Amino acid sequence: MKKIVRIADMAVGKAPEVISTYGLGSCVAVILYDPDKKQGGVLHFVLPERMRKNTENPLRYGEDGVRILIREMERMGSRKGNLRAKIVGGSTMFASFIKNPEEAIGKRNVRKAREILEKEGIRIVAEDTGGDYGRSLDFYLNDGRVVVKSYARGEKVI
Amino acid sequence: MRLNDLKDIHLDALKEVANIGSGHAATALSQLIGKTVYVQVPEVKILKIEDIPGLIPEDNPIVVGILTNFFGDATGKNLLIIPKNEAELLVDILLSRTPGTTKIFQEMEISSLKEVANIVTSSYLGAMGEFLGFLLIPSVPSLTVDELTSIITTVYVEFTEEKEYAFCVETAFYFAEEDKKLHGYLLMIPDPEALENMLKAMNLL
Repeated sequence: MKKIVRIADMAVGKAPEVISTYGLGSCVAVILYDPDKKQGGVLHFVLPERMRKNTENPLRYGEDGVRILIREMERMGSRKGNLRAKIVGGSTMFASFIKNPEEAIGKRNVRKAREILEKEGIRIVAEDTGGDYGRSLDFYLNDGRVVVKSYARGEKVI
Repeated sequence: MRLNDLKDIHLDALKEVANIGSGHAATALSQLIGKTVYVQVPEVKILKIEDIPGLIPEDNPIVVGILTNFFGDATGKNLLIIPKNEAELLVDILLSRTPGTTKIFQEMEISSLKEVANIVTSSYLGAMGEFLGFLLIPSVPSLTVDELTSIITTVYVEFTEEKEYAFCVETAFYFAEEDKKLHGYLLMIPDPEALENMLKAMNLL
C-alpha cells in the first residue's frame, strides 16, 4: 500500500507501507523513522514559517509542521529519542533570477527543518538537499530507506 | 487589492487582456515555425498553494519551463510550459531537423527554446501593453527541465509575494506537426500591484 503526501500535507504509517511525495522543488520533505517500531512519517512543507498569524493549514510551514509530525509519531507510541530524521528537497530553481541565493526559499526551508529537528533533539541521519532540480521520494517503512528520484539526477537511496 | 476582492467584471477584463496578448503571441509563434497555432480562451485561476498541482490540468509530466520577468508600468512573470517530448519536436521544427532527432537539450536546443519564449512573451506583453497603454519589457528568460509540480510550486513560492495563493491568467495553445499534436501553456502572473494597475488602466478600480 502506498500513501501519497500532497503539498503542505503529511502522512504516517507502519511497515510494510510506503509513503511517497512528489514535486519537491523549493519545498522540503522531513522524514521521521522509528527503527524499533518500524513506523514513520513524511511532511511536505512549503515555507519556513508563517508570514501572518492566522492561516488555515499549519502543515504549510516547516516550523509548525515538523513539530506536528513529531507529536503524531509520539501519539503512535514512538519515543522522540528513537526517531531518526532525513531531509529531502529545498532546491533553487531558476537561480539566475534570485538576488541572494542564501535567502532563496529552498535554502531557508532546509535551515528551518534542521533548526527545529535540532531543537527537538532528533538526529538527522541523511540529507539530499539543494541543487537546482526537483525531487520525488518513496519512503519504505520496513527498513527506513528513502529512494529519492529526480529527472536531472536519476535515483539515489539515502 | 486582495485576490478575494476580485469580481467577475475584473476577471473578465483580465481574460480579455490575456486574449489580446495570447492572440498576438500565437501569431508570432506561428510565423516562427510556419504552422497555424491555436489558442484557447484564457482562464483566470486563483488557487490555494496546496492545490497548485491542479493549476495545469495534467498529471506530473516532465516539462520544459521557461520563466521570464516583465518590468515597466506593470511587473510580473510569464511562465511558458511545454511537455518535454513535445518541446523536443518543437526544437526539431525550429532547427529543421527530422522529427524525432532531438533527444537531449544542450546549449543549442536550450537557446532555441528560450528564443521561442522570448518571441512569445514579447508579443504577448507588447499587445497587452498597447491595449493598456503600458510599457512592458521582458527580461532574459530562464529555462529548466523538470517535473511540472516542482516547477510551478517553486515559481509561486520563490518568486511571488503572495505565497499562499496562486494567481494566474492561463492560456493553453496547440498546433499540429503531421500526426502529432504539440501543446503548451502560457501563464501570466502579475505582481499584486501590477494587477491593480492593470485594472485601473481599464477603469475598473
